[in-house]
Amino acid sequence: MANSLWTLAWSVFVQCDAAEPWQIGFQDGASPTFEGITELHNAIFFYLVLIFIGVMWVLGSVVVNYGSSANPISHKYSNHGTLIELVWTITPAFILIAIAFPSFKLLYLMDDVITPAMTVKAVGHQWYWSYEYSDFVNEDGESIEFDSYMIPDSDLEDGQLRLLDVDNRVVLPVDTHVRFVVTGADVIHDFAVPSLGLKIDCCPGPDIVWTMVKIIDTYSDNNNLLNQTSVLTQREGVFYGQCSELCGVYHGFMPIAVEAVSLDKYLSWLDSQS
Amino acid sequence: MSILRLRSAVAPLSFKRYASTISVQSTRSNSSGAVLGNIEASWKGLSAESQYEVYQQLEQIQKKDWKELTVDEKKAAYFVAFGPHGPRQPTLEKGHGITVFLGVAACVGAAYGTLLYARSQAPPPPKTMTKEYQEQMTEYARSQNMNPISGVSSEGYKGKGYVQ
Repeated sequence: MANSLWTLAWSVFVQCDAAEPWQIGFQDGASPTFEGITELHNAIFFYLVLIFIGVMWVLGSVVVNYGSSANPISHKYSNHGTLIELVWTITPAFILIAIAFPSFKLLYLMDDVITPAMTVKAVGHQWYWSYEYSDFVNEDGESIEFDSYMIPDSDLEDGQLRLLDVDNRVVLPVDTHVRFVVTGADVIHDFAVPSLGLKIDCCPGPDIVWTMVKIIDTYSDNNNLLNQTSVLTQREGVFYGQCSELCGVYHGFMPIAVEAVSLDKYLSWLDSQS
Repeated sequence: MSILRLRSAVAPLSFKRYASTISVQSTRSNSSGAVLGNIEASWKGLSAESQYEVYQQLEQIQKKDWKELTVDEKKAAYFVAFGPHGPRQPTLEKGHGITVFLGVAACVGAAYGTLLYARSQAPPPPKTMTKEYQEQMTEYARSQNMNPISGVSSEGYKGKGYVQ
């Protein structure tokens, strides 16, 4: 009986699929950035455990020693304690400092885009992504550009991932420092691929994006005109992400698929695009 | 918290109002010990004047060294100052918790019933929810080397992959 009830509840509530069903931990990382994020998470989790134990101990002590049955009138008279107030003010300050230092360190490390080998421009649209490989041009002098749409349910085949697979993936070479320059064509989108540690807002601006990229190249010290980030993919594979800034009714239907391949395969792919 | 403090502050004010209109015997009567010892039971039965008399009497008693007070006097002082009477009278009757519990349970049940009805009217789940397709998804993920360290493509993986 209980089993059938559980099955009923399961079938009612669980009607979705995902990258890894019931995964509560991180995806396997594929870039130094993501390794840094997981390391910071683990370091902060240490403090979280300490805080949890401390708070639960205080709460438990209060409940046991000062409950209405054990000590009915203590709350009328226990209204100030300088020492305990100093403890619970200064201790969190030290904990915050201990968390802040590694956090800022990682933040600034992630923020630096130093001598990337190539640049990919990602533009968010309602509701798809378009990509431009501006470092590579064909015989006509045009750079590689393509749009990337989600594959609808009706066209899925051979186990493709629902709501995650796209018709044209972003193909990148492994072990290569790649810069992403991102922007939005209409509203704010967010280019996010968890296993690569990528998550950056794509803010719309005037239609001079390409000019700005040139400016960034020229004045590398003044490189904050467009949002940019970098990634170094350390292994071959396919990495999925989704738009992570609410951008309209089909916000949930503009996924990102990054395919990291060897340099040989990447060059072959480039040839096929030109 | 502030409301409780306000209420407790209001109680003595009501006694002061009586103080201006009635004469008060502040001396300790022979029966005061009995009254104080049974104050929790007898408080509601006392008239306002008597309550004020007990209050004043306790005020005088508490001016003494606290350690010299009897247990009955301490209890009575606490009850008059902080007890569940007057503005601190509990607003909920005993057994009210059961009513609240039943009401919440009924609301949750109604919500769950609505959910079941909505689900019964919904279109069937997508084909990706079939076991066959989910097995294909697992193979597809492995072919793409997804999560090769701890996930579906890792060595010695024993999970169910994408099969839910």
